[in-house]
Amino acid sequence: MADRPPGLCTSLFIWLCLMAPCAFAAQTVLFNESAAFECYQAALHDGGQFDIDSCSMALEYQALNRVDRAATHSNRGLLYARIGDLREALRDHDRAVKLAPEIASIYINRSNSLVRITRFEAAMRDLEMAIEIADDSLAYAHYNRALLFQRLGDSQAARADAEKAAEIAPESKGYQAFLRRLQAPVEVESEVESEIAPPMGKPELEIQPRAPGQG
Amino acid sequence: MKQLTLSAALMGLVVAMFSQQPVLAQAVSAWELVHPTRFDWEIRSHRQRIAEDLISRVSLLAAVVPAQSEEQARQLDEIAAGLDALGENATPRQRSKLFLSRAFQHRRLLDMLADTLKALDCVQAAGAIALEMHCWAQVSVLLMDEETMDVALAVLRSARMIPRDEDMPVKAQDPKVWYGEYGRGIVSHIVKPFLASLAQAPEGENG
Repeated sequence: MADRPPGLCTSLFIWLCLMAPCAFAAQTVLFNESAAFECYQAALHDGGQFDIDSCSMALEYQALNRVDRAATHSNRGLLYARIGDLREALRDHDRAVKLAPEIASIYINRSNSLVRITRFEAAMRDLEMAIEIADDSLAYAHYNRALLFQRLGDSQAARADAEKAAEIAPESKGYQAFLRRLQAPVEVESEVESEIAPPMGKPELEIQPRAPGQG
Repeated sequence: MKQLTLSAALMGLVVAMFSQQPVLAQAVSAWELVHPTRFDWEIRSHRQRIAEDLISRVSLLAAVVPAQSEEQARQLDEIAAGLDALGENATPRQRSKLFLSRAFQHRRLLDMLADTLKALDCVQAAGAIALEMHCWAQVSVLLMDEETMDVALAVLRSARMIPRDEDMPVKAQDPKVWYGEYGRGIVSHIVKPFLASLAQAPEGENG
């Protein structure tokens, strides 16, 4: 795990699925009314076009430490991606990576935008980097890489990554469901009378808004 | 007055005759799978016409995808065999190198197009309706696999191996309608009505 400057490692992460019905566990949120926090809230929930201003305000006027600045760029990148402005999204994600290259979630967020513009190689590199950093977003990095491998047609590698994600975060129903889905064809052949799994929505890449102010 | 009544009756007969006349199969296109107007799944010539139209649309796309050279195919097979030999020991990076490669995505697209055309041939050749529906189901599964097609096309496009979207043959890609829509249309307007008819048929008639 890469070293972080002291005092910054307490920054809060919140995980969720992009556009998916499953909201992944949100951790404690400290009270904070700053523009950067509004930006984070917007990225966390269904914020869009109008919330981008909060992020911009924070970046322009708020005294942010390096990690919070990177987080705000990353969060604004998520909002830009949500409204379909992937060029601006990538600009923000690139800035975030430059500012805090030691934080895995920033690579994960950038990789989501890269997948959307079909730059799969770059997206794969970012996910590899996120996995190498191996901080507390490791499960998400594996899950997203599993989705990317699946898209590329490598079901074996997808399954391996999905297994790792499910192993790291056994409490995540989403990962377990995704893994079952990847394993489904094998199960059907080997265990014809097994119970049919409930229908599942299409898994989505995960995004990782990051709250400022705790570091 | 009597003459007028007769004329009205004749008129009614003519209207009835026209309304009952089956739509010419030639007027039915694959577009009917997206916006059905005249298509009747129970009429074999309609289904056949749709299969024919889909073959022409898929073939137009296939025509812009270059063939893979024997050398490329051989190299790809070697890399794949190497990975197979490594089995679980193959690293994600080694795997992604293969699956991100142009050669792999190129073959993936060629295989998918060939499988789709084969399944459409199966539709055309099928004698019994149950077999034909099985073939339609295969066609729909392949056409609905938009992810495979999109990823492969994106990789080939970035390698300038196929034209940009706007330069693609119009019929191969109806503006705003991608092949997945046809796949969903097959399920909605051919396979499902067929299965519903089986469910409604008295016992013993389905075999």
